[in-house]
Amino acid sequence: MTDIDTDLKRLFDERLGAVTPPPRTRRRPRGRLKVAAAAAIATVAAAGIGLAMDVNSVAATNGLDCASFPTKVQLWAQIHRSDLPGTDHSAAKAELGRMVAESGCAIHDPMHHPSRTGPHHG
Amino acid sequence: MDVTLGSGPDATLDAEAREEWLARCEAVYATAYRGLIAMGATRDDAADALQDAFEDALRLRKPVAHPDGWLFVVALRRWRRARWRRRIFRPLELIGEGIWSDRDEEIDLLTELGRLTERQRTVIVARYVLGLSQREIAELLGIAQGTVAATVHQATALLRERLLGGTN
Repeated sequence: MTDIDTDLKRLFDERLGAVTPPPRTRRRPRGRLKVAAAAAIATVAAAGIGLAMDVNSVAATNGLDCASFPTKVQLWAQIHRSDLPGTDHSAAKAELGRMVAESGCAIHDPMHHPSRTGPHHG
Repeated sequence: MDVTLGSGPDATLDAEAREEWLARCEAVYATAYRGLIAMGATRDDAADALQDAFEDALRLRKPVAHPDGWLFVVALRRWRRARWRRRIFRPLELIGEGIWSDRDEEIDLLTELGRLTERQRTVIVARYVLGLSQREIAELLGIAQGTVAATVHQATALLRERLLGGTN
């Protein structure tokens, strides 16, 4: 203990001895909360990306790939609504046709793509 | 103070050794808390860092050479990491950090400790507040015992001059 300065040691004891620590309690679950929040954000982000991809995919399949995103969402909702049992499919098809016509997009038909059908005969 | 729990570096903690280990951690809680305050931590930060260190203590599988110093060193590391994170997000809040007391005599000790280098402060707190030996400090901090001795000597002289007017 020769390297201990007794005056300094007394100073430390006097001034820090009065510091009383708080009772040890169970830890706030901060870490778990952060992990849960990060997982929730990741799930929501993944679901959002998946939904956007599905919306684009449905729009492309129905020839609306040039339409605005809200129109694509409307189409996506329309398609999913028509999948429900008891839906009037002819009305749904007519609504779909109207939306495609209003969008101004050219309808894609893979079977009649120029690269597949070869030269046209007039 | 120089106690090794378990029967060697390759041993694992059995139930009895674990109980002893956790009891030792509880016993040094107050001292380690004061040590963190002396290092400049706020009361909340010190309590949080010690809780983190206790979680590490619960997860520990191997015996440690100096259980008393271990809790302080682990809590210190946790506090520094938290402080570093906060420094990135809230740099302005660093102003005045650590000066938590309204008592002049506590502030002057903390202020003078704050003027030391990080290593000087750690070594002095480990020596004067936790009462660890130079050899224990050297092993815990992974530095040479001669370095600890020299650091204690330099920092003691500085604190003595600044707090006690240099009289011997």
